[in-house]
Amino acid sequence: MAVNRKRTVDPAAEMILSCALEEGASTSWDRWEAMQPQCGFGKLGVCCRICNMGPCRIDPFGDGPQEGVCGANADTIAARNLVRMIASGASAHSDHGRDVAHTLLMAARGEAADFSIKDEVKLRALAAEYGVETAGKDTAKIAEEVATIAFSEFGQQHGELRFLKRAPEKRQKIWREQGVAPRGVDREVVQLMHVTHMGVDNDYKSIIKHGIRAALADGWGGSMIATDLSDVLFGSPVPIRSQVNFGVLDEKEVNIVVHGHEPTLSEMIVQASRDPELIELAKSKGANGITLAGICCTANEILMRHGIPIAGNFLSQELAILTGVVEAMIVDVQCVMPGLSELTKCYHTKLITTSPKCRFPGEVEHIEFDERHAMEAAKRIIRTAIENFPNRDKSRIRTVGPGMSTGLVAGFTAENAFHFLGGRYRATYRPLNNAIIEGRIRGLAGVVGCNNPNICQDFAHLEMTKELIKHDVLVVQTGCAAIACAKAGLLAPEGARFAGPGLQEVCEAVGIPPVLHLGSCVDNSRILVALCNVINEGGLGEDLSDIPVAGAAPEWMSEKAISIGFYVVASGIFTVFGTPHPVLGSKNLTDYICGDIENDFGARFAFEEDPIKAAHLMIDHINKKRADLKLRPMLSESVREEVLTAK
Amino acid sequence: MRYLVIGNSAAGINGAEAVRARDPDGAITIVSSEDYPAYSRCLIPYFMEGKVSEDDMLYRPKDYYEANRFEVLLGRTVVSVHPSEHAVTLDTGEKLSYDRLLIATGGSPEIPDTPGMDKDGVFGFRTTVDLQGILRVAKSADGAVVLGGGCVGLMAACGLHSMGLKVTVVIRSPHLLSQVADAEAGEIFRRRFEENGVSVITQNDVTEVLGSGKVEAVRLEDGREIPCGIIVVGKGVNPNIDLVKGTDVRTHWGIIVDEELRTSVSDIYAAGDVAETTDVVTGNQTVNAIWPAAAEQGRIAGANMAGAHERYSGSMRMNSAEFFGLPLISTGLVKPRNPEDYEILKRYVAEKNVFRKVVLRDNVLVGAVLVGEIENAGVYAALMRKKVDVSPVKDRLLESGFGFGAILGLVADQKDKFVEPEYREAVLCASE
Amino acid sequence: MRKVYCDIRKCVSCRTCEIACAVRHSRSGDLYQALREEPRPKRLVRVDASEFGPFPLRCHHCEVAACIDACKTGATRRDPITGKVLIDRDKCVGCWMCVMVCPFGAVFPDMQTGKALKCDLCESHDQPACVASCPTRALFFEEFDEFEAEYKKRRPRSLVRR
Repeated sequence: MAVNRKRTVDPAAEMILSCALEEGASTSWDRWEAMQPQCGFGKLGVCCRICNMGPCRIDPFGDGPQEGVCGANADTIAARNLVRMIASGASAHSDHGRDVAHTLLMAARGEAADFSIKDEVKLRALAAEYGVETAGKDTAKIAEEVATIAFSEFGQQHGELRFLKRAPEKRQKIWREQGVAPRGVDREVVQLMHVTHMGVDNDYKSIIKHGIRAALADGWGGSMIATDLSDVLFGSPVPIRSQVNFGVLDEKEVNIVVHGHEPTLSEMIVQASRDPELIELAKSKGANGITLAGICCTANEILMRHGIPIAGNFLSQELAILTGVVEAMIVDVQCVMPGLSELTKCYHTKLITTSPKCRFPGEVEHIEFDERHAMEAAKRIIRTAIENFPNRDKSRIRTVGPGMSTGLVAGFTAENAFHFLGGRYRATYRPLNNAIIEGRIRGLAGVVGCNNPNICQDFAHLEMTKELIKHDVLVVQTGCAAIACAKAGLLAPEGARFAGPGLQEVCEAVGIPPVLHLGSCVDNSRILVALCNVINEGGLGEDLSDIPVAGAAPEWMSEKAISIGFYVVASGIFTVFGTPHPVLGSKNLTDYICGDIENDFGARFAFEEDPIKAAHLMIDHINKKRADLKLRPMLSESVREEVLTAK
Repeated sequence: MRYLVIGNSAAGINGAEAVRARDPDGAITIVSSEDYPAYSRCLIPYFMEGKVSEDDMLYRPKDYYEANRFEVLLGRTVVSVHPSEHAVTLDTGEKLSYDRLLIATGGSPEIPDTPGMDKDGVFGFRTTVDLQGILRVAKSADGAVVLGGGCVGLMAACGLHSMGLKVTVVIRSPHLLSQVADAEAGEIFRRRFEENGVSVITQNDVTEVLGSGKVEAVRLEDGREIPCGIIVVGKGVNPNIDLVKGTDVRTHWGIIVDEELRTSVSDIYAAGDVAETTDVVTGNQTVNAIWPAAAEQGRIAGANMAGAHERYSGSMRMNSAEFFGLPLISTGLVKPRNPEDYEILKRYVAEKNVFRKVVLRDNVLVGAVLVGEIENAGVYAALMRKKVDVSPVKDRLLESGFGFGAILGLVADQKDKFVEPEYREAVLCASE
Repeated sequence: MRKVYCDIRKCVSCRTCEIACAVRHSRSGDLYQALREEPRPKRLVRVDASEFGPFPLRCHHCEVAACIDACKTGATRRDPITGKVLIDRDKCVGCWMCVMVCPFGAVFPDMQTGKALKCDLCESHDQPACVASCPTRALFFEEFDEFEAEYKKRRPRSLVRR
């Protein structure tokens, strides 16, 4: 197994990494190399630690034990391990959604004075969807009722999650027939932990079904609630311009980086950073002002809504500290590397934790963020950062220069994205559907997910996305994947020059980039809603699995990615992962999730590490869906055909 | 068959053993000018630091000569060899005859002829006599000066320091270990020595040793005087070739030998610090005075004296040491005089006291230095010795994890170079 | 002479061999107790990465052993009966000459104790710990010719993904 030599295609990261090498700082890349070769039992999913009769390992070569002590074979072991990843990923997203619902509830009740309802229109739409009577009620009352219902979805025991009804009838029918329609968010996760306990579910297909139910409780539950209620609380995004990469950090300013996932914190930080008193304080310390930048999904949230620039994605987090110009890195939850606290011991950057769920050992400052006193906490955090400005070690500043940042357009949602395609007066998917039907746009692709040192940073996202848009596939992105392609300019309108003729035409006519930033990882739910709208608009089938669309997570790292993968596949969308799920130790399980699962849900997984090959798996799939829908051939291709026949 | 081995150290002992292994009945006599059973001179600094006892310094057990039926004559110096008579003359006047002779007389420390260097208290750092002298004088000295910034000098410095003396190292070069490592590595070690209380004075030299009869101080080029009671010189050794002066045994700096360790005179072999062999990396005839080379040469010479025809593939310049807990390994040509003709790659992490440097010529490794992280050093040595084309792994040579796993592909692709039977497994595994 | 060989096609780099080796060479011989020992028990085999797969790197007890020549103290000798190349821990002073010359990098410098460490083929046991513990039976304790013959016959399932 060759050890990765090229660590990143991001030139800013490359620059900072070479300094890290000189200073002897250790990054996740170094730790990945030191970890090679990694244990095959783990990679293949055939190491079971579920009970104390173990730990057990199945010999993948067939010579040693083929069953654990309890009698579980590779299929059962790998399936249990896989769905526990769903449990964790779904929990992360859902807890996030729960927190947003709770914040909305407190805001509605006046208990969190620093928060207010920013999108009344969406609130009322949700109210209608939830069956809340709005006549005679003020916004706060409506919000309280909507939040209460959303909140209740987490503890619901029976029935179905409400947003399932957004899906086409045919899709809902499939879920019910397969027995995977989630009843309540927390219930599905608890049941998943139950069925994977020793001696409960021993049938791999049944285990996967339980996993799918929990994943759907994430995608159509926790995540979707997080997205929609965040829009209500913080405003629905509209297309907005901004910058991405380390060039956004200004040596002359107090630089504050927010990292993590929940917008409740980052929204307050955004507001607090604009406080005139605090700006004065910054100036009194010798800075020109305050620069706020983000990493990972919380970055995407405040980018989408406020145009706050992004410093980097998952693998860039340590590099931010190595620049020497970040006064504070404020973290809440998820994807926050434990290695950060070691690094901050050697640099002036203060690591500040804000959530009781994400703590570090040792002396890391903890300023707990409580919705009731949100702005107070936010200001205190900013003040701490400003006070740190004079502590910069001027001899260890490694900024990459303002040239090392790229412009992008973000802020697309299911509601507004295709608004533009429809013209300014009415949001409609008609033009999008028509573009697909007529063969201007081949289809849609969602390229999402993380970074991972097991593949050169951003390389797979870029190569895959460029290949897709070259073939007239309109790409939507979220999370670290969006940040990756943004760094390379694909999320700016100028990125259309990489697109094929059909897509280019559409982009230029409407003024959109060929790759649309839909937000954070919980905002993958926006993709689901958008696809529902595509079906509702008509002409592209009756179920989500009819649409010429494919998903991909080419550089996946987290358990959240597994949960997303499963809710997307279970919703009928073919999805390609880069490195495989840890299932290859079970041929049956691998064959099922990459094959026969399609008979049950209308979609399957594929594993392909080469991003170009993966892109073509998606393109081939999209072409097949086009053929099944009996759509006209692509305009760009039929022109050629005409030319050839004319000859 | 009568075998005579002149020398009782790495080359002599391994030579005698190799003879005995092939010839169970031959008469083997070992003569040594040192009046001491076979010991490892490299352990002298460890003895000074209290890490080994006097018994520990023995290279072989006490009953060794008896068990192998070696006749051993200690404290007798061979003053001349008479090849046509197949005999040697000792300093006692005795004559010993031989059928086959192995000259393993080693070398003597080079002591500069600075005024005053003949005073009592000046020592090389090679023999038990040096050690005993140092121990005697150290009782009444509180300062010591060490001349020479190579491994031997610095080991002496550490040893003297551990005995409670205030040590100053004086060197001509701009940095320590200039023969075997770069300025960065020299700097790492200078910091380490100074942190431990050993002073290092560079680009200087002793112009005069002061004192009435015994060493009391040294004067440096810049006029400074450093009080001291001991001077230890670690400035290299000269092969002990006087015994063949005037004979047909060809010498240069050392005694010239061919690949079977034979001298120009039949029945006479030479091995160890006295022998000039082909340097694997430079191709030059030179003396690479280092313990592993001496042992290997002795072993092969001994086998050949007893009828074998083993080939010696050549010596390499190399050294390993650890100073105040910081290890160093240097192999091959690491300071080429004309660096522009070589490709040089370096990695230096000052905070971690890590330095690694490799020198290549036409994609073949010719030298490597490792400071701080010394694991897998031998893999570099093997690549040098076998003149392997390392271009496929050039970008990995400086990694701290670089080792055999990284060169498995090279072994498979260039298996004509990896002929030892121990590589068969690797070739098998890498050929799929 | 029987030595430890690895069919790397069957190695999944689980490093069970490393743990088993360290425990075998610990004072207590027990995994849980071994973790508390001072000095820490050390593994004498190390699973390295290679382009062909994981490669458990171990001493080959070479027919012509560079480490024996290199040893300044005579600590490294060949056992006249078994042929194993062994380092006498008490005589070893940690001069690192053997590290300097071992072509496999199979001598590990232990900075904690200042001793050179390498595989001793589990001196007083029938089967080396690594071989006994390998869960995929990738390690073998046999003559090379036996190993080669079996290797060529064996066709382990390829784990390269589809």
